[in-house]
Amino acid sequence: MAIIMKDIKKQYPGTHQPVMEHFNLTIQEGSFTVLLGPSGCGKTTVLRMIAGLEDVTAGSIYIDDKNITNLDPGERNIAMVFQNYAIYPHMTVRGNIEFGLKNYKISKSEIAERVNYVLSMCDLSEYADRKPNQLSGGQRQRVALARAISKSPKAFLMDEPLSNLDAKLRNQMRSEMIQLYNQLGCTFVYVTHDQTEAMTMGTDIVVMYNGKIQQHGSPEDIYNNPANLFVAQFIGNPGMNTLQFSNGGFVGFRPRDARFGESESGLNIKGNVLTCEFLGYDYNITVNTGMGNVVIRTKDRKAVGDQVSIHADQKDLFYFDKNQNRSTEIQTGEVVKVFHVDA
Amino acid sequence: MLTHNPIAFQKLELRQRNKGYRLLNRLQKNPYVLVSPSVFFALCFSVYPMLFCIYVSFHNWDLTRNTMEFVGLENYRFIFTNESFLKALSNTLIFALTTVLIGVILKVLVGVFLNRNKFCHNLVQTIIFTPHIISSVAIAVVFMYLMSTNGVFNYVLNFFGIDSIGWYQDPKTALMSIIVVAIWQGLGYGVLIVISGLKSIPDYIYEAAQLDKSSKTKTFFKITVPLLSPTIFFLLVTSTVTAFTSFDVVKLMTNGGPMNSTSVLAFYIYQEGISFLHYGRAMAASVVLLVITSVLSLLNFAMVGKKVHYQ
Amino acid sequence: MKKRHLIVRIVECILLCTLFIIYVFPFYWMLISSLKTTFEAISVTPVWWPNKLMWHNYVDAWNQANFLKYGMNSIIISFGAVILCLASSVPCAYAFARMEFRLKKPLFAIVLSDMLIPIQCTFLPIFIMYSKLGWLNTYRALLILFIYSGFTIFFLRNAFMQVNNEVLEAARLDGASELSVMFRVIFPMVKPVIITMALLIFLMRWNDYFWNLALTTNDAVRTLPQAVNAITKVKDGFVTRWELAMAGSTMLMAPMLILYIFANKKIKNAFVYSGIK
Repeated sequence: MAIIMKDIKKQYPGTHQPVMEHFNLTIQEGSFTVLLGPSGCGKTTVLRMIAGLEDVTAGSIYIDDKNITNLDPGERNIAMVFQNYAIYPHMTVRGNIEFGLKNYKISKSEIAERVNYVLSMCDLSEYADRKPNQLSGGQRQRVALARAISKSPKAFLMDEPLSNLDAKLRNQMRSEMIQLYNQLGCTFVYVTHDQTEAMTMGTDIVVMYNGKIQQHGSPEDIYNNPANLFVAQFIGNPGMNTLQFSNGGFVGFRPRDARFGESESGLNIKGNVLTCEFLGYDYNITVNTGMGNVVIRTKDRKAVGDQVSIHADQKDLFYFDKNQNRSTEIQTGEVVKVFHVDA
Repeated sequence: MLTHNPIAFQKLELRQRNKGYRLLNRLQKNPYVLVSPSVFFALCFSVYPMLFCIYVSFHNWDLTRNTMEFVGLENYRFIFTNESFLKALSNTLIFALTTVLIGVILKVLVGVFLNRNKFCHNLVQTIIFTPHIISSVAIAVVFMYLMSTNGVFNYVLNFFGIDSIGWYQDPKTALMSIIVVAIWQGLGYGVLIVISGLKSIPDYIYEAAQLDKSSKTKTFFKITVPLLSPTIFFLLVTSTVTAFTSFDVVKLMTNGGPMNSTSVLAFYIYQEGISFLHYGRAMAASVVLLVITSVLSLLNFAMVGKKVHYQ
Repeated sequence: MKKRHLIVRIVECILLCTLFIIYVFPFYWMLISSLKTTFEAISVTPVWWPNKLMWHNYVDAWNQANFLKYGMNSIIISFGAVILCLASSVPCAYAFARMEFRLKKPLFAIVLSDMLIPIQCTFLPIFIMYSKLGWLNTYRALLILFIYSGFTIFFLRNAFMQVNNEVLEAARLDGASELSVMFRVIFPMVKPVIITMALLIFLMRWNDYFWNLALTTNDAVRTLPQAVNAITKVKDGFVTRWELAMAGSTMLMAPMLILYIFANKKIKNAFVYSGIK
């Protein structure tokens, strides 16, 4: 039940620039694929094209080797959960779930059976006859999920479904979503700009920017092995520190991998402490190095204005060429030469 | 508990619909099908009559021989030198000027006064809107009665030691009588609009003014009035258009008289067109009215476009 | 400080009472005079409460104005207008709110043209058109005319535009056809607005005097407003039968007043948001 997007082009009518071109993506069967990226990167457009809510300008989409590019949304056997839940306000919880099922070739008794099953699965049995405005945000979200599950779709598409919930509920729903995924074992495609959601839930992450896929891999892969500068800076909290070489290339290191002090090998850099934020367990310390600001995550407290030296080991350094792509070449000498700056 | 899982994977197929349903569905997807009835009738009853009006206004339409002869601006020349048209035009201007000026001032004052969420204020606000939803015939009839020779209005005048007046039956006071009825009739709608405009001014602006130690009068003139200005402008324009097109009360109470003293533009058009069958002249007068109202409406659209304050 | 406050409250009270009297008195006078004798109705000293309530005036006014016939005309035309106008305006508003098409802008301008072109400028060509078709004094003349109403379309379009798009997309993903999206999802959501609109159309057409006057030359399809106005021309010798005119006016406005009592918030909001007078 893989979803394959082949050479997709998308251009909105009345605009001159396509939002994406030559876009290729294969979503593995049974994966929990997260489309991650800043707003405006095209992730929601991709999801909506899979759902059939958005036409593709050129290219084709396959589910199970079947070309679905020109099928109506209702014919694609997929379910979608929307950011604002999109439950029908004038129908009861039961009515909301039944509405979709009634459009398909199944018997009344089967509809009832399915509805009861998903209601109990989502802990909604006691609310079956309530209207949406009598439900809390979390309950509405569960109605949307129940409605999606009831159709036993090939794939679940979710468009930032947790973004309207408060922080506590979001954590709870996140784990419920993982349980649901394990229980159903079908393909999930999940759009978010929140990398915590992406990292915790996804089996596959697709990092997108400017209508292009920057990297497609497992969460560990994305974090430990960023394909380019954008991914490196986007992933992690805070993202990777990067400094530019005189020849246009970049070197980067994770805030957690750096420490105060100096060493013979690796990267050494000096600067003044700009801010020191207490995060509970440790600190985020921003240092002005004259080459740009660098953030370090450490348990050592520093006062604002302190002169510090920062060191990162050779093994923790990442290199990028001048096209911002990851490079495996290590250029030790130059690093030391360039970055031994007196603040 | 749940021994059988009904949602085990199985492909769901869409229900087949019958042909008629599919056809309707297809038609329903076509916007042109959906809009065409309204567009057709809009053309019939709004666009075409307007164009026809402009066309005929440049022609002499002889009904007996059924000929249409191009006469250029002759109809316009005629009406602008015709005493009864000029009388109607000047009556309309007086009527518009007084109802709009007095009306809008009253609307704003009463609106500000009634903008309180108290039972009495709401009740009065609801009551003064009533004339807007009942037939102008009922209003005209009751005012004719109130303003009749032996009516209550004269009784009140006499009570204060003033002699009875002829109200709508006397050429000197007829237009004034119509103006009184128009203001009475229009107040409720204006108040409603002013109150909705006042409600759309967010509370925090008043709170900020309070923190700035602004006095109540200062707050009214420096905050309420400027923020209400789009509403006031809207009221000015709509009341002016209403004043220029008013017809019902004139036709019902005075039938334009006595001695043309209450004949207004719309009434003139009606009389020339339907009573005297002078189509060319009537339509030239229609075009004059159309120009006036279009300028006002376009002004309104332009302002609303600029300051989207009034919902 | 407290004393001034009292004065302010007294002034406020006086103003409220003045407004109340100015607006309630004509209605009170209409009602009370409808129950007077002819003599009481024209008495120089106003009769605030008649000696004997002449309920029979209503029967006389009813017969005098031929209420049965003109009332039926009013009902046929106003209800017909509501049904026809909504039937054409709802799909049209839906298309303008929810669909994209090439001629959308010019067609929308055409559809809203009656908000810009006053009926006082268009009635004469329509009158001529109808008299050529031989449609004067027919129901169809008025009913067909009332099918189109720009502000109805405008108002409904705004309501349709406020329907959350996600819900419609969810319905499409649920396999719903466009028809069922329209009838089973959107309509229930905008039902209150459609009801308000129906009320407003009914109100406008029931009260309509102008069109009925302009497009009728005999009494075949005249409606109540004209009939009630005709009562004022009825004279007993030289005396106008005001009590009958008042009874007629009361019966003419009663349905609207009852509607207003039950739905005054709805009606007022409709007038505010549609921007029509």
